[in-house]
Amino acid sequence: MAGQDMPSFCVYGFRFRLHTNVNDVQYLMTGLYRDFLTSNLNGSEAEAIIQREREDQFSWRLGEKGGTASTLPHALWNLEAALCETIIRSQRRSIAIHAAIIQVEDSIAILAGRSQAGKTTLSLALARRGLRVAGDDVALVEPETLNVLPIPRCFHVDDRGAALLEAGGPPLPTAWRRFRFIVPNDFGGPVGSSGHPRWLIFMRGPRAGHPMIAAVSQAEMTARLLSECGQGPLSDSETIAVICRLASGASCFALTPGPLGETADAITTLLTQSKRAAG
Amino acid sequence: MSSGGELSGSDLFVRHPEVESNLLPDQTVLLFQKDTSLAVPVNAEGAAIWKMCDGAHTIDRMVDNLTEIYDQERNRIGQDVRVFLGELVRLGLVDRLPTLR
Repeated sequence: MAGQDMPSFCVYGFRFRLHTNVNDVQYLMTGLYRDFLTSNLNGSEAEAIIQREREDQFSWRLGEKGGTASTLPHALWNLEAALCETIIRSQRRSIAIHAAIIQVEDSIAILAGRSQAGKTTLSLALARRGLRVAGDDVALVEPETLNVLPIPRCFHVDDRGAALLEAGGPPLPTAWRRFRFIVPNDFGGPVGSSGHPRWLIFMRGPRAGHPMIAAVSQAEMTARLLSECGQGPLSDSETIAVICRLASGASCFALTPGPLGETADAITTLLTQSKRAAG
Repeated sequence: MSSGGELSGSDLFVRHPEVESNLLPDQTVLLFQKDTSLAVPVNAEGAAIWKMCDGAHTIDRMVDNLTEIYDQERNRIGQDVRVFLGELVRLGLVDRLPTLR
């Protein structure tokens, strides 16, 4: 293991160094956290480790968490999930919210929804329509500034989702076929500076014959977003105050998804046209 | 305190002390019951009713006030107010004050 040459990252204050004996891991993890590379280490950084033990066994470890997997993708997913959880737990003030973050030029849309609501597939469909997806799962909200900080994660796409996405469009990046590991940076340039969300969209089910986008009140959106906030460092009252301020400055919508292509088109139109209308 | 039974026009209500209200710019309100961590969004009409749950406004007086604001029949407003207050009581967001009958 060439520890000296391994990349180090600082993701919203959480520092870690990658250790691996698999070249592909270095390439893939650097792609995931490309915007967080750092050389400014202080010796207290965590070690994120993936090792090939033998042909069909990979071990992974981050602090006290670790395990083995029979395939490289599973080891990667486990380490990446542990990193995400640790980044969230390391926050002293920021609130974690279960949501995808879409960038339209210098504006941000938060796409929230329960697990299995379809955020990942819709995010990828939006990325393939030219919108910048900064993250598809979790973002941090800074209480003082209301800046939204997307935590980059690999997109968990199954074969069915991939088939839907590839229908009528180019194939997914090679990293999906080889490693089931595609990340926001596979779809565009670096994420711009964080900012306040301009649109808040909550995905609600069940899926309909056609997508429906309806304006909702700021109170309803706040309640929906609260249901997607994890246990954070702030008190309940402080968290509510932050989410209320977030909703106060945004246009709020509920999305009932329909077929993927139609839904992605509707969201793209919503975001780009209202952006254009505002100049 | 009582929470059950038909609501009458002379009933009074007070906001539960463990409930926080957060007014938003679109005049809707998010109510948060601290004991149970229940978050309830309330529309602008509901927010107006919530504001009048101060132990001084009877249902009849609430309806009078709302009839001046909203262009709807008094009976309809009265019905909506009763349904809404019944829900607030059920969720533990307001307490119905005992009345002398």
